[in-house]
Amino acid sequence: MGKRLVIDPITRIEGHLRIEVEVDDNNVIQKAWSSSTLWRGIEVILKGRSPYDVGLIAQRICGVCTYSHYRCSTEAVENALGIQIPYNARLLRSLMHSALIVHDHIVHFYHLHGLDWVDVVSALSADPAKAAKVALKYTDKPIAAGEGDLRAVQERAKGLVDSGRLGPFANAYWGNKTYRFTPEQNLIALSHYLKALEVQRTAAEMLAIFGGKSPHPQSIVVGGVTSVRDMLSPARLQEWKQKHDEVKDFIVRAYQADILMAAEAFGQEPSVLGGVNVKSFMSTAEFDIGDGNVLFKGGVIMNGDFSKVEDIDPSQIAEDVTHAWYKADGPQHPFDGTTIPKQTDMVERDTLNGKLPTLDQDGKYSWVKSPRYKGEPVEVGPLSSILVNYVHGNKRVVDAVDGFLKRSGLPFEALLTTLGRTAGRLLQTILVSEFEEETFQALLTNLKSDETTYVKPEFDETKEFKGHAMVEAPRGTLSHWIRIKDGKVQNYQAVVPTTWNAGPVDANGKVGPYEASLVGLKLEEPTKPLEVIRIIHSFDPCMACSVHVMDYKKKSLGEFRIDPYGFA
Amino acid sequence: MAQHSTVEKELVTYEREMIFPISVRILHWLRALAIVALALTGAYIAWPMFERPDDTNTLVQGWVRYLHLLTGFVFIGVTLVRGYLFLFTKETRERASFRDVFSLKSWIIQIKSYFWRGHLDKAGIYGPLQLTVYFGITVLAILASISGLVLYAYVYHHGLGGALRPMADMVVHFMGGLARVRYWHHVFAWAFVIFIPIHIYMVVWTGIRFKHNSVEVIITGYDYHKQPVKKG
Amino acid sequence: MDSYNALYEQGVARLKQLQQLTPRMGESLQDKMEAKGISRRDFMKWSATVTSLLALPLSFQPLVAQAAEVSDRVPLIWLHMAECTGCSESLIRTDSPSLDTLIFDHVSVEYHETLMAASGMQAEENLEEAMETFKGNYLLCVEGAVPTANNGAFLRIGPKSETGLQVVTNAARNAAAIVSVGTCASFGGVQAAAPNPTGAKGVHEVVDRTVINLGGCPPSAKNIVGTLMYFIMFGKLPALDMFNRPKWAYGKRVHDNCERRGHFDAGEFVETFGDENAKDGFCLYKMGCKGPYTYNNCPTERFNAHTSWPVLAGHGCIGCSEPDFWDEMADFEKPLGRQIVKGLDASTDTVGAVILGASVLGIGAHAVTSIFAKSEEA
Repeated sequence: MGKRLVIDPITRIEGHLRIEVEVDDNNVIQKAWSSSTLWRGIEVILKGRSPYDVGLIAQRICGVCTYSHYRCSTEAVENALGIQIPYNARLLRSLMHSALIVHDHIVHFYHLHGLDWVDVVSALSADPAKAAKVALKYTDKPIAAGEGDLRAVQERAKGLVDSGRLGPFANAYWGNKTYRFTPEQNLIALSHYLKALEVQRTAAEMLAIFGGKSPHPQSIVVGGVTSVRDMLSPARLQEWKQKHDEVKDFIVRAYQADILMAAEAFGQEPSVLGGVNVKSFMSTAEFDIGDGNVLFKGGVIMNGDFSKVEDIDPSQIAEDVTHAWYKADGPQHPFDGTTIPKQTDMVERDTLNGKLPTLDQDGKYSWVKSPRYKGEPVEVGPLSSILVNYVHGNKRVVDAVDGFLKRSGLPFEALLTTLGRTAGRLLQTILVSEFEEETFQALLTNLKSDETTYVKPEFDETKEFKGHAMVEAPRGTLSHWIRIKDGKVQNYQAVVPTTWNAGPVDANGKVGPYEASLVGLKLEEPTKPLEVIRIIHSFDPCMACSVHVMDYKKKSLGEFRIDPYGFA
Repeated sequence: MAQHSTVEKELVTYEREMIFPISVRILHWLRALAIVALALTGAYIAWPMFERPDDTNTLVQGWVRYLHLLTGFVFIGVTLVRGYLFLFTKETRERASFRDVFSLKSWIIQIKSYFWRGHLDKAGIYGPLQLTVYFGITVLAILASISGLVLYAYVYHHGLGGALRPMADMVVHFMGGLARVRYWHHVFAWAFVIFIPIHIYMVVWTGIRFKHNSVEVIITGYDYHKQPVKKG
Repeated sequence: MDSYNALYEQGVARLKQLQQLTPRMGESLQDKMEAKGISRRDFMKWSATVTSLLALPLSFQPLVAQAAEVSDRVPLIWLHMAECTGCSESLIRTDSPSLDTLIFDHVSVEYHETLMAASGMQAEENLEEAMETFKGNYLLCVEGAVPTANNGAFLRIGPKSETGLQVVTNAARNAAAIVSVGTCASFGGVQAAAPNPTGAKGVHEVVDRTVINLGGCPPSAKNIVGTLMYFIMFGKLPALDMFNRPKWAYGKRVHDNCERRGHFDAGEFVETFGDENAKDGFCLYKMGCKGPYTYNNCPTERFNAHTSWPVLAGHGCIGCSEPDFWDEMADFEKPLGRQIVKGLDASTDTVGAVILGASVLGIGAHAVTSIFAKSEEA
């Protein structure tokens, strides 16, 4: 019997996540369990409401990937009602989506994930002059990494440490052996941590230009986009372009440089060279600006077979609730699925931190279900998208991946690691940032002859409708499914990226990506489990997204049935 | 029609009785005017249905709102004065109708009479159903006025609006938001709109049915009662 | 004005009191600002902005500046309940370059799950330590609603697996002041919309103390940061409206200061999204704008460093800073009278028109019957 470790809350994520692991005498993780500990119930709240309102409500599933649910939900309604939105509206939505992805990835890498790679305390002993030279290794034009910049940052950090109250940096894992940056490298990254606070704001403003605000923009409606004045204003367009240039500059000169730096420093660090133990990957097509110009293609890679990628067959999706706090007779297709809550108690156990309530791994232990594709767990997210498109032979992606591997000197296999997952996110950021320029140009061209942004929906309320939409959200493949009757939402279902990744083990003992990623990981100091947190963060967890199906009146979810093959 | 001929044959005299003094009549018509104006302007405010004129300096919505407020205050004034008159005037004819409201028999008599059975026999000048409806309308008038004043207080921040603000805050807090206040104001308006045709019809109908001067009485103030035929 | 003078005096007294406390950080703000490349001039400019943001006369500016200098003595604990992290996302977008980090340094963030480096047991220790060390002095911000059904079991946090309800009531006990950030923490928000499956409630409903409610989904960074600054300056809660929202931010309706108000008064309305009127920036009332019933400073402060706000982006206000707005303000693209009333399945106007029609029909039937009815009168 191994020793148990409880990590709750996992911080620097969206939402509430608990991880428990069991380590052997050598502190190697034998088993891991992931549990979401909050349930909200947005889908039930959506029932009976106007299809015109669902986008705004569904958006509140998550404030981090905010816009993804808004757009996916609105497009599900449009799909149901058979509405083709104007080209301008498509381009504007695409621009907003790009801004979201870029913003989200920057915040994730620097402010959520960054402190897993960067030892802030170590940066204090760096030599700024030397660090400035180091920065030049990874790009010839570093940002915020000149000797003066770095000295200022260092003094600022020193002030904080000297004060004895570290605020958000207090009581963390500084000094852990798996921090592999040199003091100089830590200082550069810390400087970029602060700089990124400014840049993410600019990226958010890009979304706000056409979205009204961020988080939770408010300019998408069933039938198009409302921000027609912003679209027609040369000043607004220029504002967007300016901000785009600033953000892209940062991505290339700082974000990319930092990942290359990490690839070099952590290239031999065993704790980040595993972590991809579920070898099936799924992603959907995204950024389609017409005329066959699509940035990312969709597909599935099964069981580590990188020789081929198959199309997604939605009928092959089933959700298992053996170890989730729901009741069901077996794996169910999401549209035939029932969601009958059955919360069970925690189990009191001895842990490395004394007696604590722990997850009941033999019973039920999470609010997240376990979706399976053809009975197999799959990973979704930027890495999946990159891999799927690489295997597809998508030229943009192949060039980006090969270029990165060449510069970092890493083999292809290195992508299938925690480090690779983090690098994949960078590659997606770069590709999206480049592609939004094309989208912007397409908009400018189209505006010469077309100012339409909206078509009024034809909506016969006496009829029944069903529809769905799939988008590639910052954390992976997202789909929303809707059924409309009597002019109102009859059924609503969202299948969300983090659900795929964070679900518990299924009836056949198949383990999902989170739990699998931790097995075999050796911890330096189990009570300070930085290695675990780093791997989990590399997935960019978004718990509010993954858990939103909710029905407390047990029987009503029996009605929650949608014909899985009726959508097409 | 046969009745008319009867009237012509016999020579009858009528007694003229003052039912509604001039104050009541003026207030009634002021109120009627206010309700119509409020309903029309209110309908525009709720859903601005006609297009603006080409002249952008004409504040269409502004003027409509101005009219709405003006008539709104007339309406509030009438409600207050009329309420005072009803309760405190020396003339007891109106208040006498209370006796009928608390008498089941009177209710049956009135409702039967509306379905063409029997006379309309009452203690005061209103039937029990009639007085109850008027009372309900008065309560609605008070609620509509309060909700209207709350909405007013958030548009005009000084003067009366400013003075009303603490009261308005209380109402908004009680209702759970200004939108609720606005919504109920809208519902109250509908109640008036539905009341008007029923009211007019009932007045005309009772006039014809029971040979009252019920229409003219609110203009001239007089009703006429048939005198017993003089002997000899 | 007298009230301002009194407030000013109070501010001065409060700052004196704060200055007498032992500073947690050794060096002065001025040194720190220099280290961070912020000039005194930038700082004064910023304090002037905050002064006017808080709707205070400019004479308060030195006080604001002084307050920022001593503000490192105010520890902040920020809890996450049933939420989407949108409010934290809004907070990190706070503008005026370099200032966000200044605020971070000066409001000492003791616990904030989205920002803090420590996880698990270490995070829990931070929370306990801060609550003990700063007993009675820390500012508590809460993001997200508190699920109360099943004794709050729908949300469990921390190694001891406490319910959100337990965590928030514990933290509230010794807080100097409590701020509910966003509509969820204030009024329950989206998870409290009908049928409110988890029994989600606003913090003020589960805590027996005054709670400042910052409505908004999410509230702008200005409203969050401004409220914290007010507390630091005066050591008391700002003047609050009927729903305990700070008047400086929520004192006026969106409609009052709307940039499209002129078009409203002129009777110029957008008839469909994207039409010529929309291109001209006409009023969005007929597109369901709830600005007339919503209290917030969106039109003047906007979002994302004044970049935009929903009405500028051509969509009506959805009333997101109001209690129960998910139920009260829906359908969001229709004015109130045209909303579908739940249970009736029709709008108020439709119901009204049907009753009116039925009355008229009833009148007609009664009139016709009257003609043929035998009179018992004669």
